[in-house]
Amino acid sequence: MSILKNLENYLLTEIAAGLGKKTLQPDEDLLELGIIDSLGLMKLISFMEETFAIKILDEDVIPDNFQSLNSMVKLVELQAQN
Amino acid sequence: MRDYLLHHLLLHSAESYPDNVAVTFKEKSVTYAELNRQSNRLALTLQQSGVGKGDRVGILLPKSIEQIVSLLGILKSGAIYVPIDPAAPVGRINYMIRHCGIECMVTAPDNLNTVLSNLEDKSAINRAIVIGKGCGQLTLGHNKVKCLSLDVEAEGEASEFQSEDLSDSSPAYILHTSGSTGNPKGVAISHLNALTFVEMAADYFKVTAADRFCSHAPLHFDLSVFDIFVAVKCGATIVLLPEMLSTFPVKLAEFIENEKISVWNSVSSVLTMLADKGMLERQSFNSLRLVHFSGDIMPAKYLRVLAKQMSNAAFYNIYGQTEANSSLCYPIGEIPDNDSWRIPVGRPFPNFETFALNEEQQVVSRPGDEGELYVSSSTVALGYWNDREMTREKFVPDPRYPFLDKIVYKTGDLVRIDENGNYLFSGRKDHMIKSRGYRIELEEIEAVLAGHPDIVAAVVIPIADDIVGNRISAFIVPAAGCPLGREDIIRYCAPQLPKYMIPEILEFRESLPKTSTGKVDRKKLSEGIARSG
Repeated sequence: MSILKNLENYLLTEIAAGLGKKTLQPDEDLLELGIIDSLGLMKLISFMEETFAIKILDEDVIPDNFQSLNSMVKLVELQAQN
Repeated sequence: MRDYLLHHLLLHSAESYPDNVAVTFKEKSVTYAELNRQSNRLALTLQQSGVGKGDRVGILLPKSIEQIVSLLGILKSGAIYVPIDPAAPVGRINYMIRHCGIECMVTAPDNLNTVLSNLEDKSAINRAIVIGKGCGQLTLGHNKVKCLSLDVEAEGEASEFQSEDLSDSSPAYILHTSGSTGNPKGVAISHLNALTFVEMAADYFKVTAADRFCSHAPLHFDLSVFDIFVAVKCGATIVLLPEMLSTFPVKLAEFIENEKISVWNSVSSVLTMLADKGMLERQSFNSLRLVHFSGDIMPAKYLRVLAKQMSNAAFYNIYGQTEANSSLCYPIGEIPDNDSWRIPVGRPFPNFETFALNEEQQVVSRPGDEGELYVSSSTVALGYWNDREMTREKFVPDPRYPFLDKIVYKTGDLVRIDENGNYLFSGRKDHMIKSRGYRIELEEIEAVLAGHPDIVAAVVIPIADDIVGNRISAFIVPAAGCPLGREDIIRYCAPQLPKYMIPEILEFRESLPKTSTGKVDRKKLSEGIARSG
């Protein structure tokens, strides 16, 4: 499964299941939609670290990196190279 | 004469500090003179639309300067404000509107559209004041709702609103907290209740017009009373924190630094996140002089980090409930070099009284003694709106004065006295917990789960957590032949429960363990989680 699909699945089933959405657009603003809030962010970070075997540094926990599925994919790819 | 209604605080600050910035949010701000004028304009509009003394007016707005204008405008009109979180589930919003008999809302176009399209009883809301610019965007097909758009920022003085005769015992606002019956409880707070706390806190914490308060708590949370009204009383500045920033600890730390925040007041979990992931060493926090935390337990290891990095600040553990505002506080001195140190909840504020009764109904006074905490003070709320039975259960005659019906609030919290005479929180008499500072009655979640047609039984168990206080897990027994999944449950809960009450961990079982008396064995379930976790 692609990084994007994997993240989308996790967000839809774990973080935003209450919204009843079936899909998320790669560029949809997840912060604006309230999908990612402080309740969900920490869970999401643990999921990303475990699933993609990466380490997300505190300084990378900023809105730019979690704005949309695309920005999270970019973060994962960048961390995976390091 | 002293201020005896909450909005009098604003009148005084508008006279004494007309040009001080009262509220700032992102790039916008208003002075005290403007805040006074804008809230006058709203009060007049409300009165012209038929709102009168004692009416409940909902505030359905995201965090914004307009929120502050709204609550002051509603108070000036003689009405009672009821904050409604626009992110609350529709079922809960419907309940609050019905239960409080809210007929008029102060709101923004988007929020109004969402609520009206989900309103169960279409005739419940009949008036809406749509505040701010761009009110022409209303696309409502809801003809029964009379919408008035109000540009509070318009130039020129509004004609004077009619000042209502009110006593300080009149209700000022209603805040909702979790209720064990499956619905939230509306705590009705009088002007006197709020002012007793506000006046004391302004004095006790030596607040001045130079202070900059970070308003973190949402309006429906009683911590907002300190941020807003203490600042307004002193002519200080309320810096509204954009909601999204509290999600990102590094950004939150930058915000406190850049905005030169001097007074911080939040639930503990926000500060533990900040200590854990905020990279505090990057900032100086020179302006920060007061840090209040409350709501749940602050682990000593995080407090140590905060105290080191925010070295100009005095730290206070504040204890209270919506029903009696904050009543105890513990000023942090030396932090023991022991991670299992439990920070005391301290002693009552000046002019506040609390006492604890043991099982024999005697007041406890010796170190080591344990009892249930009662609050006796002018802060004790008027009761639960539209719920006499629950009010009688929690607001009880003071057992120390058997010849009087003096009312005290029975908190349900168990406390122990330590060797220095401070109270230590030692548990609850019921199944209420705190998670991320929110009070949660586990029965409320259980009642919602039990309403699912395919659930035979459900029990909700808290799991202690360093950062958030408690995480919520649910054990569910589905009906035979009804395969239920995680998503089914979350989707079912979402329209009824706020996000922070939706169980994070779900386990499906064929049956639940029972005690010898036939009750669900909660202890066994908790131990099971502790072992597997």
